[in-house]
Amino acid sequence: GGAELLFDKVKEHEVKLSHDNNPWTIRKLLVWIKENLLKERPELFVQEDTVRPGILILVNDADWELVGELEYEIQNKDRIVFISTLHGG
Amino acid sequence: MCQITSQNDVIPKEDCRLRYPYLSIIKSVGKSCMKCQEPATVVARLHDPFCRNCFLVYFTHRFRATFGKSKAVRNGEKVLIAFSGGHSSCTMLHLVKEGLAEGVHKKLRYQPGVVYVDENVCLEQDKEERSAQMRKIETWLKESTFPSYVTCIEEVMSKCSPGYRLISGDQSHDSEDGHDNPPTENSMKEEFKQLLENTSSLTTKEDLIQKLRLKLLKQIAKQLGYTKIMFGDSGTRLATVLLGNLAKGHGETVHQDMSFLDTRGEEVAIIRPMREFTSKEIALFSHQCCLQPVFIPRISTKASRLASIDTLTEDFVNGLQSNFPATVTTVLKTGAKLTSDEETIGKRHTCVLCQSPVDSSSSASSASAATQYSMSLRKSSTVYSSSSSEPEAACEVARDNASCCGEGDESCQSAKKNEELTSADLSVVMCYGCQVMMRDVKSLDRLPSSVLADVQRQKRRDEMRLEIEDFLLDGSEEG
Repeated sequence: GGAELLFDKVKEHEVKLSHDNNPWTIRKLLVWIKENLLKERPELFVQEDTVRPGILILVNDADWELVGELEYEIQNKDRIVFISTLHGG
Repeated sequence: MCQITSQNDVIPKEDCRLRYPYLSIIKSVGKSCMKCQEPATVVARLHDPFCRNCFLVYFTHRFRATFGKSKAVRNGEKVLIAFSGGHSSCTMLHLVKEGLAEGVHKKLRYQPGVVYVDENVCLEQDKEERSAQMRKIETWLKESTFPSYVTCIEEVMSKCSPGYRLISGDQSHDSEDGHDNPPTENSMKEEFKQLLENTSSLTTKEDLIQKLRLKLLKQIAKQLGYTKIMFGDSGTRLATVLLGNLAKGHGETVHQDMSFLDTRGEEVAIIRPMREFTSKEIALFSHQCCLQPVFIPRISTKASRLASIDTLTEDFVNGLQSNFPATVTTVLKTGAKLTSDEETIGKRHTCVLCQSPVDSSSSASSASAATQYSMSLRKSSTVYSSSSSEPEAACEVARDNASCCGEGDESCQSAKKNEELTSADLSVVMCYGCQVMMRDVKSLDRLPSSVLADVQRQKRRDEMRLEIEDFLLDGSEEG
């Protein structure tokens, strides 16, 4: 829904995250995305340590509220989708 | 209970989705669908978990129920769908198509058409990107199987009726091809660009584009014989619009701006069937159905949150909604209770830009009178192009030139020469909100010719009325 503009217009990113003692949570992922994938205007995507209100996060097509929001631990081969609902159609 | 038969094509085939092992994860968190106790996938409304199938059923049912309950659309009525390519428009078009599909038992059958307004002139884009976007839009329009049209926002500047391009569907109309005369089209583009350049703030630009787009859609609907236009504004969007309008001075029209059925304007009414849904629900639905919305950047796309009143209000509503999911419904319910004074509606003029009633009889102690007084105290009025802002002087000029033009049908064609607009004119022909907006426009002559013509016609009718006032039987009776 337009979020790809902040990522150089690339919609899909396949990402390999390094193995760590600490498991990767969505919170950690957002920080990682901000540092590595976000090309411009970080304030339009992340706000403090969570995603900006108006951007939905789906984990394997399920609402992130059902899997624990920021504390969800990412499993291997998970598919995470960010949909921007700002600027509605 | 959530069995979806193959006849009802709301849910597309499973082969377009990849299967994910989400079931085990969701079970561990423990939330199940409130209807069928399957593992829940989405959270809709306040905090209600739904599984995918039940969510799709709920969404579709709510959409159809809104139509049925309101009785706004009659059988066989022609309804024009305003399509913008975003999540809401795509969802709405998809639901309309499924609702009217063969084999679905429906009592309500109406005739839809689809129109897309190209706003490339507001924000020039890369040619390749633009043609890729247009291809996607045209694919959407063709797949809808309804008569579809594409028009450009600069057509609102046209001196005669606006042109449009037929994409598919019915051939029974003589369609004027708006792209037949490139020189005219370029000049309209330039005029529109100049109008935008003459406005200084982003708020006014957005507002002006939105009002002119609505005007254009109404003109086209009228031309093509459609009596209603369907917009895909989500509940979240309408809540944002409501609060933004209160800030911008459009307080009189908030009720109509967010109601399901908006009957301003003589022949064409507006319906907003998506107002029951938040933008989150709509995005989830379109994602679940694998609809492919087309994203087209607008002038406020990458703007910061303080760039305009609209961006700030959107930020506010979205922020509040994420923590308090009842925000949008509360705002809309409150807005539905705000109605304007119905008694004096018949006597009022309608605003030339937004067709809302103009309150021309504000009392001496009202807020708008106070604002106007302080504005008149400001001697340097760089906003308006006229030398004199005295209403009496304008009347005198008109009286000197007045002579009967011989038209007997209530249209006064005398004094056809273009008189310049004054601030006094605006206070009569525009509602308060539009007047506030016009203060930001440096040169009023740049407005579309249809708007200026309406202003002149209204002025002449008022002057005529003043002249024959003594002969009218009763002040409230219109001759």
